[in-house]
Amino acid sequence: MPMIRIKLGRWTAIWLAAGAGLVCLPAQAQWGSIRGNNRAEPRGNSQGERMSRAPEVHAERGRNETRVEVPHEEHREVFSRPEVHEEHRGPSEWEHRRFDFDEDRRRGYFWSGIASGMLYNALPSGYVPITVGGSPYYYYDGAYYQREPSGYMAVTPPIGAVVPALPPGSEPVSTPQGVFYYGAGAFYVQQPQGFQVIPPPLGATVSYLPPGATQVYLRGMVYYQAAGVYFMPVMQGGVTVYTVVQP
Amino acid sequence: MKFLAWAGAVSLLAVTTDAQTVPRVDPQAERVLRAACQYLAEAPYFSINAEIWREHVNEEGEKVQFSRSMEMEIRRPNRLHAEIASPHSDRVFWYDGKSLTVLDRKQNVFSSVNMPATLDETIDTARDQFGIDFPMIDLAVSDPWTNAMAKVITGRYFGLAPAMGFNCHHLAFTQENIDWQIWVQDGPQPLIRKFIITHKNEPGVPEFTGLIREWDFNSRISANTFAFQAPPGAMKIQMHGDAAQPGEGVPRPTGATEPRSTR
Repeated sequence: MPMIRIKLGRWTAIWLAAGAGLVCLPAQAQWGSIRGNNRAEPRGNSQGERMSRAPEVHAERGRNETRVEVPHEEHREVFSRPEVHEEHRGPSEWEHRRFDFDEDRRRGYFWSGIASGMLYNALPSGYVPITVGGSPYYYYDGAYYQREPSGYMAVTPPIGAVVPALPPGSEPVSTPQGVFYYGAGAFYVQQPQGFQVIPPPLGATVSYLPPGATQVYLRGMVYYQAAGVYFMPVMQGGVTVYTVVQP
Repeated sequence: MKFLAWAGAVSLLAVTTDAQTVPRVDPQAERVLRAACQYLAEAPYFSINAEIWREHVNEEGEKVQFSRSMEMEIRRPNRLHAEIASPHSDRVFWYDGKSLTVLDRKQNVFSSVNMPATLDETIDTARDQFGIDFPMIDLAVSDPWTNAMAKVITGRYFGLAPAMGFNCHHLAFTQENIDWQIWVQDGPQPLIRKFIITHKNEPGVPEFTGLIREWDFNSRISANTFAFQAPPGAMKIQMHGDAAQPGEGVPRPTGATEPRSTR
């Protein structure tokens, strides 16, 4: 049976994903003062996260396909050539405000307590088996595991892995290459079979670091390093956010 | 005769239009709020110890509240120091009449930007150009009454009610974009004890709540309070809005030093 594809605009795609419980939408106008709320929303200022492009959404994306074989090479094609469909929207829709309580919010998700290298006796109930580059993995709510002789070890999200749904609390991320999704410390692009882990896109700014990131100092500047990827801290909306920079 | 009829119709229209644009505020609500705002406006300096709560409506429609403690010192017309903290997040703001500095104590990074010469202008500049939200900053503006009433449509008075252990006047106001309520302490000091903003046009109608535990109008605030001094090891970072987009022109990091866990 041929797959039906519906091409949607950038924000429509994100709202659909939010409606499906996949993406945590940014609050747009919740200022903690009368004065803040009474100011006209700034249009086109540079600190707001811009939704310049969005990956397409497919009406049928194979929710039941839990075992997907994805060769390691495939991610490069996906990453370099996302399908893009431009659509003009008001700037106010593009704003992505940062809140300091985002840190609290993340702590309510299963994946927030999982870091690469942690060993478990058993997998969480409801896990999904996946295969990446011929290697078996297990996925649950943003966390990836591999079988070890003594149990199951949490691992870094493998590039190329395809999972049926985004991790809870994922956020859309604008990059020069388009809009992707960031959840549980990994970047995703939507595919017909689900959501595929991609290498961190250069220039992507996210509101938190991957679990286990470490702070490093280079030439008088501070960065964070996680699985070989460097993040540069910047202040946005009065809170610290992290931008993927060229390692 | 026709002219008189036409002129009468125009006058009636003008009166109707005025009636629609003038806020309908209960006189008692106006009296209480005016007194609270005047008390604030006449204070050359003050500090508060408060708790703020923000509601977040998550992707399943569940509403969750998150809280922060907040301490703020104000010296009119151009000094501010505020710390907004929890076990997971700790941010400090300094405004010294020239620049605004934001320190993230958890990551030990800070950022500074130039600001206008007054607190009012700085509040707006920080909000418009850098997306910085100062909770309950309505207390610090030079004209709290005009600021509060700027877009009010209606105001009502609900009588006395307990808030934060004090007998307070309960007032409620509506605007097009938000509704807000305020509890003003009864007695010679009309102190604001509780404040709620309802974001009625946002999905899930989330609320912001401020609870003010302590007011201090007597203790002089040292000039050092408003002067930023970087903590040991703190690193300066960019603030979006005044610099190139992140990732542009950033040198490739090489020769990493000893890593330090962030968790």
